[in-house]
Amino acid sequence: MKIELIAAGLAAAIGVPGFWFSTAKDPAPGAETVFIAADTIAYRPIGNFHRNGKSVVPPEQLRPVAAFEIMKHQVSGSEYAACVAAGACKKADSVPADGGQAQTHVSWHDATAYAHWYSQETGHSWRLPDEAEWQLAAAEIFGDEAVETDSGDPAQRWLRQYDRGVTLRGLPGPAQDPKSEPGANSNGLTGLGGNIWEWTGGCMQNGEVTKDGTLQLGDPYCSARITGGRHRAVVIDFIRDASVGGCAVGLPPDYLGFRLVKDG
Amino acid sequence: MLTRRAALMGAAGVAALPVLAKAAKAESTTVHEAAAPVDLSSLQRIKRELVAPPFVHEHEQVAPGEPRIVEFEMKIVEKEIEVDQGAYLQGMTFDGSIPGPMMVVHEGDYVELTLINPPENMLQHNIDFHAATGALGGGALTLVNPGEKTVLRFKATRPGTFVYHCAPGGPMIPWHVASGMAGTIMVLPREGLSDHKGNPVKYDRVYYIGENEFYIPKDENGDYIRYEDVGESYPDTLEVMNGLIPSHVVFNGAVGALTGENAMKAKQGEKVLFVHSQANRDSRPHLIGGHGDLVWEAGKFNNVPDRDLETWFIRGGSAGAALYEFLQPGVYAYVNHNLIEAVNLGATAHVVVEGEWNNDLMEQVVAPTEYSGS
Repeated sequence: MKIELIAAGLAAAIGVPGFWFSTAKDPAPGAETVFIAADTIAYRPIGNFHRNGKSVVPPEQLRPVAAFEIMKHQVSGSEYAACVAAGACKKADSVPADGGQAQTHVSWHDATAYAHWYSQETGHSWRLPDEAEWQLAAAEIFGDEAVETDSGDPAQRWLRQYDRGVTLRGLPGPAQDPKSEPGANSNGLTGLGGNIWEWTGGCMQNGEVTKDGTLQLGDPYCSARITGGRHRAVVIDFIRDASVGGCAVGLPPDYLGFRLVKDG
Repeated sequence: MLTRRAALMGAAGVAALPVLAKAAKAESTTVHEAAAPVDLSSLQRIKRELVAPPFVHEHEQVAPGEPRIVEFEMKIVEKEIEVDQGAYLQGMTFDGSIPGPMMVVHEGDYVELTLINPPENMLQHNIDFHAATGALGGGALTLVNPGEKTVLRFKATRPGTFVYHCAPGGPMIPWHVASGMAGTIMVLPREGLSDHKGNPVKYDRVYYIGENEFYIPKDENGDYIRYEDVGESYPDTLEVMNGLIPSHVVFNGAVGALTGENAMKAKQGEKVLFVHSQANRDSRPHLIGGHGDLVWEAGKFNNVPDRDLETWFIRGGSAGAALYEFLQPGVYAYVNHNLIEAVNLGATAHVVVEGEWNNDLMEQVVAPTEYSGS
């Protein structure tokens, strides 16, 4: 399940320097990645779901996720700064004093621009994880804030969800400086479980929950993307600081950062 | 400039400068001796322990008998407070909290406050009660330097919610208030609150929401500046204050202080009294999804309350009260309905209300479903 691949180290082990130099684009030493083996997760989409004309929390679905490679660390301040210096990324609203710390205050568009640039730089294909990949990689850190209720009382859903969000998040109050958790999770990913939420490629969904409990998905709304953290949160894609919240109630992410998946 | 202003304020407010303050104290002693003594020895005394907001100390809604002397004690605490992520305020507080704790007495009671300025503080402080009569609301009689304490007694002659704040003279006045030194006292009518018809009204809970706006300076990179001590923060803070554009507008001293685990709680069917104070700047409380059933907008209970308000106005330098019976469960947001201040600057609180949904009041007829145009 967790095989850490150090891209640079691997290249050194199998690559003949002359061979590398002969390629059209020199692959720069890539970010350290972690291999996540294929698995099936209990997945719950986020969005507008209805049953019998009422809003409901969709039931969990078994969802297979193919194997993938994902960055071990969140993209750091100095890594993002290189993209800014190259003119391919927009300057973030805040830069960590220690360049080794995670870059926060970036939007989904900023993260996507970085993935494009980083793919060109490294000669590999990098992208944001989708929300199911993020969930699988986050493993025990993943928290599902959704609470299924069978009553037709919409308030119970909000109340339980609010309560669950509070529990997952720990104490409220002023957030600390952006802080990646120093330890690694069981998959070897660092930075999870702190106050930095990570952008994913996942979109806000909509659909119907049929009588037998299956989901019929409609077209997703992709101007709202799913971020992963202590609980998931839906954030409009051009927002860089969601800490003040997108709507009146509910718990927003503290900081927005990201890590990428390497496709090959 | 500063000295001139201090001197100007000093002419009006005796507590402006240490030297004047000392003179004022000496004078007050003289005046006190010369004034006709009052004998309150027959009055019952009761000591109230203050609690941190948004909660309010135990109290009766209807006065139990004859007027009493109600004793309070407050310690002034200068301390750094993280108002938002990375935004630190060199705060000044009554009793360690922003806002200062709420006191409750009844009309005709005597408030007897022991005000302590501990030696570890840097600045002199005092207290001006808008509920009190004379001597700058008590400010002229209560100026205490670090390592001093004082006792003030005043008679609560007017029922209502009133601001109290620090007002140590000159430019120190707005700075101390903008640094957090303000609170509220509620003087209840002896018979308790009454509705628009004069019928008695009781509340099941009371929450006290102190709103503050802060003016935290930023450096050339746009990052908030963190200061060593309250004195060091003054020159930059003064400049931001004079621009009148706050960096933060918050309830209970910090962004998100009344949300999540610290959200206010109530049950469907309960009548909740929200007391809202803002010592320095106008505000406009609004309960999203709820109303103000009975609103004493200016906070003074001798006036007939307004009914069914959507939003009410709190004049800077006053406290108002709104009573609402929660009819529907859910998570409510209590905001300053300048929504820029509510969402972007921090003035949002949550009320978590347990109960059973009433479909007569509201029902989702069709949940959001796909629509591809006509």
